Order: sequence, then structure tokens, then C-alpha cells
Amino acid sequence: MSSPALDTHSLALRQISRRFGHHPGWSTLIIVAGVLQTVATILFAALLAHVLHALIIVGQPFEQLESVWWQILACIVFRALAGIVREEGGIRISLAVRGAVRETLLDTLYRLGPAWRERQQAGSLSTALLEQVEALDGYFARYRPQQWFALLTPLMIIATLAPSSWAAAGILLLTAPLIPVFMILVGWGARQRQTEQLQALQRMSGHFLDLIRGLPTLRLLDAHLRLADEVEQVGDEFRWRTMRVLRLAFLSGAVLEFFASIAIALSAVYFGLTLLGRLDFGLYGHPLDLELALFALLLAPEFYQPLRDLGTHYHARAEALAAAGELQTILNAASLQPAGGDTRIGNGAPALTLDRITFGHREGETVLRKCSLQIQAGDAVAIRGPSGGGKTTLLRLLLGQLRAQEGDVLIGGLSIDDIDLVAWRERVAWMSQHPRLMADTLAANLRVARSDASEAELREALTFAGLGTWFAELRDGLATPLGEGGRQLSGGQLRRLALARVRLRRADVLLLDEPTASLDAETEEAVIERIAELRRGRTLVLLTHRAAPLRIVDRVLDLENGRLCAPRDEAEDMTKHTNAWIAA
Amino acid sequence: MKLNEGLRALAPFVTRLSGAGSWLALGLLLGVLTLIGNLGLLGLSGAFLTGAAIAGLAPTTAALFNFFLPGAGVRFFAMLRTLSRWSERVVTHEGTFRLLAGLRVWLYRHLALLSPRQLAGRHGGETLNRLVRDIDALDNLYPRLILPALSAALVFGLVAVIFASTVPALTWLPVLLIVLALLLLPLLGWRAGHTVLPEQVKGRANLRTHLLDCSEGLEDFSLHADAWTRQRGDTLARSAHWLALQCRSGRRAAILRAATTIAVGLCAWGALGLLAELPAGSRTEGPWLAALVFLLLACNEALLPLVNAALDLPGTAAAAQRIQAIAGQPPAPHYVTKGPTPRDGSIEIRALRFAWDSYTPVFNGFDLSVRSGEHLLLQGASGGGKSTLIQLLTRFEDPQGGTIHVGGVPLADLDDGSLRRQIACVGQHTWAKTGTLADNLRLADPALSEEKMRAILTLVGLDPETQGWSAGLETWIEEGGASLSGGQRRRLAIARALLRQAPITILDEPSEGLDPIAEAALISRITAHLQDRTLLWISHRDGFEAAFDRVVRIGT
Repeated sequence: MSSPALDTHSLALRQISRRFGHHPGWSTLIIVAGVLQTVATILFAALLAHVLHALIIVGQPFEQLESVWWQILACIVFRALAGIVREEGGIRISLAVRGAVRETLLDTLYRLGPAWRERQQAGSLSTALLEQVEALDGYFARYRPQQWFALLTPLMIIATLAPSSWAAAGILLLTAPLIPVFMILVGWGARQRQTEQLQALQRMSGHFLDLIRGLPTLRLLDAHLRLADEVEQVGDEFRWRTMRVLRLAFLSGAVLEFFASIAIALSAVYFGLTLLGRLDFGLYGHPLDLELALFALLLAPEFYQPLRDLGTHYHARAEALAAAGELQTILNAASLQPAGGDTRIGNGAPALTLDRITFGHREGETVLRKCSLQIQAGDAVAIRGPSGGGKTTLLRLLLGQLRAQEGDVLIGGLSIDDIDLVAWRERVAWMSQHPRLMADTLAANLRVARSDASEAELREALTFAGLGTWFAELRDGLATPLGEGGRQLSGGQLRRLALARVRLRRADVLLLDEPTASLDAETEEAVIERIAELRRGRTLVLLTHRAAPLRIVDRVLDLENGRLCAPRDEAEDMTKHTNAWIAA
Repeated sequence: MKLNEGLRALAPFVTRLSGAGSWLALGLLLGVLTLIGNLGLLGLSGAFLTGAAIAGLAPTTAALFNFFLPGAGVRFFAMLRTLSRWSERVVTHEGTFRLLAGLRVWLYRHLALLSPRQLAGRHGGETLNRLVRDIDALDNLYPRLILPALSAALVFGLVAVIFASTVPALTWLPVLLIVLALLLLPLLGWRAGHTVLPEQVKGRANLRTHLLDCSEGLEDFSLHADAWTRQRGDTLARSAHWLALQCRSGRRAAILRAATTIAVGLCAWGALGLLAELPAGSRTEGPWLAALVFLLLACNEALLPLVNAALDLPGTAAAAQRIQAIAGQPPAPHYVTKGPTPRDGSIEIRALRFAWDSYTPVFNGFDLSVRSGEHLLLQGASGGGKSTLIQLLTRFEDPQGGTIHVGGVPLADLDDGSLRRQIACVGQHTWAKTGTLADNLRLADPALSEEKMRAILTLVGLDPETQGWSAGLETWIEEGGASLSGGQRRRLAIARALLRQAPITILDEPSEGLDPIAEAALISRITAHLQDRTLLWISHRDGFEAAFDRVVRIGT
């Protein structure tokens, strides 16, 4: 992993932490609970050492120690309870962060609009909204709180030991300056391990998923059994490559383990020899007893425990880092839409004008080149052109979903920079090239077009779009679930549903993007007929590469090399030919 | 899910070791050694200090005390702990990687024989995504649950032996820990997890579809603020619900962790009290008293990692169950192992009946006969059964009635290999393998020469040069063909089908996404290439009837 990528990721995580991770109440609770937990640990060690000393050396009867013995139990229970509180604090912070990030992401998505969304990789947005937001969990719930205790707990333990024995504290202190080094070491090892292991797993899963998705194709090619060997080979290769890195990465954990063990061993040997009178230093001249020796011995492993825990939570940080990079890209994305103003356009069908528009999706690319378009109020225009030629871009410019680099967009004579875009879009009915079902009821799928439509209006729209007989057969009527987990529609039915949505809009303008693509001739005819009905009293822009819809418009324009022009003859011949064929 | 169902679902995956058995056994041994190092270090240190303190009371005993042996022991356990910890991690990871490679191969071999319908079920892509997540969950079964549980139990057994030889009356304490590791924790984890789990699965799926609707439906929402407000509110409510579920299970985990710590603490605490109160005659000596208490305290480290694994148990069992449900299906249709060879490229369909479900019959007495070498254009409305016909001809599905003969042989008599050699087909959903362009072409024929590759690419209009692919045949194709346009992916699929040189070629919407001129060119090149071989060209578009011997409309 290269360091610049890491730096942008840690910067992104820091930004997300600063913006969403500020929860002083819960943070205080975590610190208080964590400190109390350490206090309980220290007390536990002290009491246990005291009881053992009293029993073994002093020879006190157990009855006299019973109250101390019960205090030990209290420490055990209290320590565990403080742990629950500490974890609760982490969980609550993580919950608040994830909820807030998701809400902000949704609002950002809405602000950026569909033109921006279209440029994102398929599925990447819903992954961001679900998985990547969830990936922040471990970092905020566990890693970040643990960071404090990786420092606090060792300090508290040193502070406890130092007054009675500087040598015992010294043994721990000897390695204490190394703690930051350890943290880096643990981090390095864990990061190597994480990235390598995760990548290997992801690649392996990716390869596997890729093949499984392709199984029908592979089967038709009779290659499906042959590729089992490839699955095995890929597994072996990943194992070999990953293990090479892991062997080294595990060393960092081993080093920490080594120091923890050494601290215990050294403490034991030092105190043992002092007890036997063979060593005499480090106790400010006081004699050593078993109580102090056992107390120090019990605290030695606790000194390193928070650091070791940090290591086990490190993968949470790696996950959050990767996610934060992607999330921050969305949160910081620049809007492609014009800002708009607050003028409302006049009632009735507006005229639409594009005046010498130049537009490119990215630097150096030109989709539209000084492109002009003049549509009178109530006119219907069809625009043809190759796919990817910028037809949809024209509609997005009219909707104020994209901002032209040069030129003006006028709606009803007003510049798009001055009009209230939200109000303007409410007056447009748009049919996308790929209408989509939501995983919701039929009614909800229609109310996307007009949220306050009555059931009667919904039924009327369905009948209008030619879905009347289909609807009549639905047992659950408007409550029928559609989309994922519900009833699926055929391509033709989906297109008709989109038509019903258009019908429901309180629209003065219709913008239709390939309304008859991939329909058979019969369905296409029916849809065109309905559009012809809908266009009365409205301004219509229709994008198509098919011939049939052209007969319901007033004018046909071709989009070629970024400009609109009147059709050339050859193309018209073709139209006639096809029309003649349809007629026959 | 009941506990016994879960265990039954997990059992086959526990025994499927795919050659990793010896690695896992070694990992277990090293895990045990690590814990011994850990327990030994604390126990011996405690005993050593106590012994030294007793001896130090008098100068004579202090001088006689042999501190070399315990000192060496302490250093030995410290080194043992460090070294075995590192080797244990290396060895278990090696074993786990072998295990999961084996698991994937096993699963792949099963899935390869299923029909697309069996494979994807009702939810298509999501089923497969979940399948991969499920395998990942099963990958954790050994390293996170089985090995730590076993090594903890073995070491606790050792502690029990030590107790039995020193204070037999208290042997039940370490035995209690064994019960905790092997029985109580998994059971508690199961109880805590299995009620939340279905809710979590549902909550997550619900949230996912809502988020998907937010992003994919933005086109509509951006034009209607009211609809967006409603959708946004719904989605955030789902998100809050999902987070609340997570909070619940997080809290349970925290409580279980705390309970485990308390349980181990209780053992040590109880041991302290009980050892001290033993009757004077059987009273354990000082060093043993400290050692036994310290030993029990150190057991916590072996138990804590088990808590999370125990909580994952229901999820892992559910994953195992889902994988079994998919991979355990007997392949349908079933193929004979060796069938006859068809004599030519003819197709005879008689009185075909087929329905995907009882509501939507697709064919009811459909007939079609195609001469060998005939080029046929199949047209029809969307949803009219064109794609279903392909599924039947390639025998991904069997008809409910009627017969299909290819080359004079009933379709069901053909073995898988012969059928694939007889019929080459490009379905509507085209897929490309992650790999080079050449890798993709070689799927059709592993021994393909470079000239043949170039020739076929030219034929379908996919010359690397004209596409601007400077790496030529070595051009890298991203996952599932994501780096290709729909048209490019389709043409690549056609190229592969043509390379099969089968007597019958079936192409479903091969010219989708092409403009009329390019479409006409593609048709003429393909029909010329397949001269004298049977071709079924399926399209919903009109205008190219002249290029074919015959046009058949179906579904009207």
C-alpha cells in the first residue's frame, strides 16, 4: 500500500471523526469507566497479594481475612461491570456516528443529484451507504477508546508501583518509552497483516464470485468443470503469497508478547532474589515482603494488556480507513448542478431554449459544442443520435441537473441560474431510459410521481397506461409488492408503469428518454399512442433512435458531433423504409 | 433455528478438512503450548516468589534455596509463550488457507452442475453475494472457534490434573472451566445470538433495499421533493432500527464477556477461600497455594477469545445451512454420463409444454422444426418465451411435456459434453471472465491459436486495434466484464460461441445496442461464417428478415 493513499485515508478518517465523532458525554463515561476498571484491577492485585501474604507468611487464620476476601470478589465484579459500561459507551458513540454519517450521505446524494450518481460505478453507492458506513463501527466503538487506555493504564500502574519500589516500576518503565514504538510496530504488523489477508480473501472471493456468476456461460462453453482446477490454483497462489507476508507481520505481535513475558519473568527473578537476600536495591531501603512482590507480579501482565488489545482491534482501524476514504469522496463531492435562484416560471407549458451550449463531462472532452435548441411552448421535438452522443445530457441541462461550461439554458424565457429549480422540476415529467421498480407496493411505486395522488387517480393512470387488465388480476390491488422480493414486471409492463407515472405528474413539460427502447412493435405502438395523448398542451422533448415515435412530434433533430441539425436525407429514407415495413 | 439443527448444519464442515488436518492439528498443539507458557509463567512465578519469601525468613533456608531451577523455568515459559504464539499463528493461518481453498473447490464442483435457476434462486445476484459472505463466515469456524475451544479445554484439563495431584478436593474448579469453554459459552452464545439473528438478517436486507431505492431511484426523487422526503424518512427509520439491533447484540457480547471474566475470577477467588480453609492436615503448602490461584487467574486469557466466536455461532450455522441448501441440491435436470452422438444440426420440437410457475404458462403445445444448416430468425414480443426456449434447448430446464430432438436424438439422452459440443449459445446476459481477452477466448477452446483468435475477433468486429486496446490479446478485462461496454461484451460472447464450431448456434439478441448499419453488417458476417450450419437468431427487432432462410414469430 502506497503512503499517499494511506495519508488521504487517514486524513479522511480524521475529518469524519472531527465532524461526526464528537460525543463528549459518552467519551467521558468511557474514560471514567476505563479508569475505574484499572483502579479495580490494581485494588484486586493489592488485596489478593495481601491475603496470600497474610495466609502464607504471617500465618493469619482465614477467618480474620474473610472481609478482605469478600472485597476481592467486589473488585472482580466491579471490574467486569465497568467493562460493560465502557463498551456501552463505545457502542453508543459508534451508533451515533453511523446514523449521522448515513443521514448526511443521503442528503449529500440528493444534493448532488442523478447526473452525479450516474457517473458512479454501479452498486458502489449502496455499498457506501450500507457496508462502508458499517465499517466505521469497530473504529469508533473499540479502537478509538482503546487508544486512550493503551497510554492511561500503563501510566496508572507505574504510578502505583513507583512509590514502593522503583526497581519494579523500573522494569516496566524500561520498556515504557518503547510503548510508542510498540504502537507503531503493532500498527505496522497489523496493517500488513490486515491488508494482505483482507486483499487475499477479497481477491479469492472476487475470483470465486466471478466464476459462479459466469457459471451458466461457462457451462454453455463446456468449460465449467475445467475451471475447478483454476479455483484450486488461485487458492494455493493466494495462500503462498499471503503467508510470505504474514510470517513477518506476526513478528510484531511476537515482539510485544516477548516484552510482556520478559517483564513478568524479570519481576519474578528480581523479587525472588531480593526475597532471598541476594539483591538489595530498588526499595528505598525498606525490607521486601511477599505482599509487594506478588502485587508487582500481578500488575506486570496488566501493564501490557491494553496494548495487546489495541493490536486485536487494529483491523477495525484498517477497515474504517478504507471506508473513510470512499465516504469522504462522496461527502466532499462538488455538485454538478447549477445553484438556481428563486424566481418561479410562469404557468402553462414553457418554451425551452438552449443557447450555444458547450458541455463536457470532464476536462478536455466535449459532448456538446455550441449547441442550440429552440422549442416553443407546447411544441414536440424528437432528438436522434448515437448512444453516448449527449442526448440525455441535453435533458439534464434542461432539468438543471448539469451545469453547462458555456452558454445559457432558458426555461420560459428565464435563465436556469435564476429560477427556483425545485419548483421547476416539479413541473416536469421524465421517463428514464431504464425505468426502475422500487421494492415497495404498487401504490408507492406510482406515488413516486405524485405523493398525494388518490387511489382513484392511481387506478386511472394504470388504465391509461394499458395496465388495466393486468391490475384487475392482482389479488392485493394497489398493495401488491413489486420489485425485489415482490412481483417482477416484464420490460413492456415496466415501460407502461413508467407511462402511468408520467400520467400522474402535474407536468407542463415531458422529457422522455427512449420511451420505446427494447419494446416489440405492438407494445411500442400502444405506448406511442399514449404519449401522443399526453403531449397535448405540454412541451415535449423525446429522445429516440427508433423510427416509430417520430410520427407524433412536430420536428426531428439529429444530434451529431455535439450539435443539433435537421435530419439528412439518407436517414429519412431509412425511416420511410421502416415505417413502410411496419405498415405492411 | 434450533441448536441441534445448527449443529447438524455445521457438522459436515467440521469434518471437511481438505488436507489441512495435519496443519490444524499442529496449530492446536502450538496453541496448547502457548497457553501452557502463559499459565506456567504466572503460576511458577507466583510459586517461586512465595517459596523464596518463606525461605527468606531465615538465613539458613535462604542460602539453601535453589533459585536456579525456578528461575530457568520462568525464563523457559516466557520463551515458550513467545515462540509458540508466533508459530501457532503461522501454522493455523497456513491450515486455514488450505481449508478455505478446499472449501471453495468443493463448493465450486457442486455449483458447476446446477442449473441457473437452482444457482440463483429467486433473488439472483444477491444470493450469490451472500453465498460468498457465507463461505467467509465458515472460513472462521476452525481458527476462531474450534481450535481455541479445544486448546483451552486441553489446557484446563492439564490444570485439572495438577489440581487432582495436589488438592483433589478442588479438582472440580478447573473441570468447571472446561465445561464453561466447551459447553456453557457456546450454549450462551447460541442463546444470545439465535433470536436476534433472523431479525438482523431481515433488518439488513430491508435497509439495503431502501438504500438501493434511494440511490437508484434518484432520477424520480429528484423531480418530486415530497416523494424524497418520504423515502428519506423511511430509510432513516430502517437505519435506526438496524443500528438498534446492532446495539442489542453488542450489549449482549459485552455482558457475556463480563460474565466470563467474573466466572474465571470467581473460580480463583473461590479457590483462595477454599484452599485457605482446608483442614490443617491436608493444607497445601504456601507456594502451591499461590501457584494454584495464579493458574486459575491466567485461564481468563484462554477463554476471552471464545466469547466472540460463541456469539458468531448462530450466524455461522445459518451460513452453513444456506450453503448446504444450495450445494446440496441434486443437479436438475439430470444428465446421463455417456449418450449417443447427434447425426446433424437439425432441431425438432413437438407439442412443447413449459411454465416457470403455475401462473405463467410459456409454451402450451409449441412446435418447431429446423432443418440442419437452416438459418432461422426467431421474433416475438418481450416475455413471449424466446429466452425460455433457449433455456430448454440448452437443457438448463426440462419441459413439462412434449419432446425436443437435436440431430435426431432426444435432448435428454445426450450427455452434458455432447450437448455443449452440439449447441453453442449466447444468452441474453453475457459475462466475461476477469482476465485477458485471450483467456476469455480460450474458454471456448483451451488450445486456441493466436491467428484463430484474431480472425474471430475481426469477424465480430472486436479487433483490439479498432477498440483502442493497445495490449492486444493481452488486454485485461475487469470483473464480470465491467470494463467492457454492453456491445463489446456481447460481441466477445458471440466470438466465443462461434469458436465452439458447433453444428447448432443460438444467439439471443446478438445485435442489441448496435445501430442498424452495424447490425446489418454483423448479421451478414455471421451468417456467412455459419454457412451450412444451423443458426437460431433471436431478436425483438424487425428489418433484417431477408438475411435469413426463414422467420418464425413466437409468443403471439
